[in-house]
Amino acid sequence: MAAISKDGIDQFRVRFADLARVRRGEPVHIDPYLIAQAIGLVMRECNVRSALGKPIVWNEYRVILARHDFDAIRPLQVPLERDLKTVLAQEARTRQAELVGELRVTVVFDEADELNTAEGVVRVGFVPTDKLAAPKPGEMTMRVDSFVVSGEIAVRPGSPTDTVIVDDQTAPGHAMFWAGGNAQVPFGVTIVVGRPHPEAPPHFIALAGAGAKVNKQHFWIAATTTSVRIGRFAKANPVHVNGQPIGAGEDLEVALPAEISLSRGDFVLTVTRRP
Amino acid sequence: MGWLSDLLRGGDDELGWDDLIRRTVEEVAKLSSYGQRGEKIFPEDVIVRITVREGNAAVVQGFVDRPELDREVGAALANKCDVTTDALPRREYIVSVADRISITASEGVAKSWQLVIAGGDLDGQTLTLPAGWSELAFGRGPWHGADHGARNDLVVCEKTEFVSRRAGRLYRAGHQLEVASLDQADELIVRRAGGETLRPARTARGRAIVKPDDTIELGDGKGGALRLHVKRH
Repeated sequence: MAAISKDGIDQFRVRFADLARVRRGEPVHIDPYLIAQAIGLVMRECNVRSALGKPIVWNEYRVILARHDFDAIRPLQVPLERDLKTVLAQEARTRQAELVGELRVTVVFDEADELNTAEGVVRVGFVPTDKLAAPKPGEMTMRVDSFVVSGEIAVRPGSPTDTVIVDDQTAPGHAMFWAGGNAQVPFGVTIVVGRPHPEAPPHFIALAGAGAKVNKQHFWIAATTTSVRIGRFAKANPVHVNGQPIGAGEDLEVALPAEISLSRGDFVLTVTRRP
Repeated sequence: MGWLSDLLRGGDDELGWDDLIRRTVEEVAKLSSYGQRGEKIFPEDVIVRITVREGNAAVVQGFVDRPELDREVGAALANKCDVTTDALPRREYIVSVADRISITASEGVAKSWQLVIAGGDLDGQTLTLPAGWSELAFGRGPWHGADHGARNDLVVCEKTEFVSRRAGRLYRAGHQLEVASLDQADELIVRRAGGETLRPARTARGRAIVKPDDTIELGDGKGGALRLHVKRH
């Protein structure tokens, strides 16, 4: 019997005994590996595509376990989080998949006590980041930024609490200007650019003065000595570089100087060689 | 061999799950008649009265309290009468104690469900669930969706911001209701009359049974809530 089966329009039933390949009747100890495997299998079931034919995978996953299994997995939260990040990142990268928002996995127990031990349900959904509910105290919740999972940028270390602005005037790189500010774009580093906000990634340029039409993570930029590569995040508003549009989730390499227009001219910035 | 089949079913004193479904289907099917085009028709509402011996009453009440029972009755009845489940009557189950087991079905008007709103800008209003419903969307304001293209069947508030426009959905399940949380997510809580709480978003089926005198709470995440007290008259 297959380890997962569709159990409704937005949920899948998981038989951990089949996933763990134990003999019939043998107890199954649910561990982070099995949960990560289950979510990976569910992710593969998503056959939604964007208008351009690129796969889009669900970004919200709720794993519902029997109460006994949940109690057993609760002390293993740290390895569970680590494994899930790796598995989901690999899976999304393999499929070159897009996400509509931050990837979120929540593990809870079945409050109706209808699930048997070693059974689980994975409920899935497409939820924009701003609609994701804040995690509750005691809830096992993993959030992984969409750009991390899509493999464009390595998993970010630690969890920065403040906006980090790249401001090393001595490092080699190009200059970025906009009405109200400027920043350096060092070579060899992929930098996220967007509206100032807390919990920004470590390599981030906060566009001081940007309004609500500029996303918190609008585009990324990577500079070489002669050019810049600019990528629009899948969920971001329109980005035009020197008048050329960048599709959602796509990127473009241009020579300098480059004029970057966000949200159809709502915010304009320029990248030039540093004098 | 009658004694053997009686024994396998649990004897004359007990009514098992399969027997209950089979006998209910037989009784309800007797109420069907033929419409103008020769199709099978049923009364809109049917009351199924089940009598059992005292020792078996709690078990049978437990059976009819499970939404699966009514679903299985519906599926078997549709199969037996060769109609779609939409054409079947709504079924209400009443279990009582008697000195012998019996199941009878008769045409009858089911009690109506009401939600009494406590909190929010429609505080004190009573919403009567319409006759003949099977699913009802509820939430803030009459419309929801990106372009307000979808309609709420039940408006529980107009301006109470912490209630989602597409808060949840009610389902009819035999003589009970079920509720699912949509955009209200974990902030939709079913509070039983005895104080027990349950979040439909955290159940395997994504739904929770709602009984008369239960309360559906739509919370703001900070302790505040709009409450829908469930009544049946």
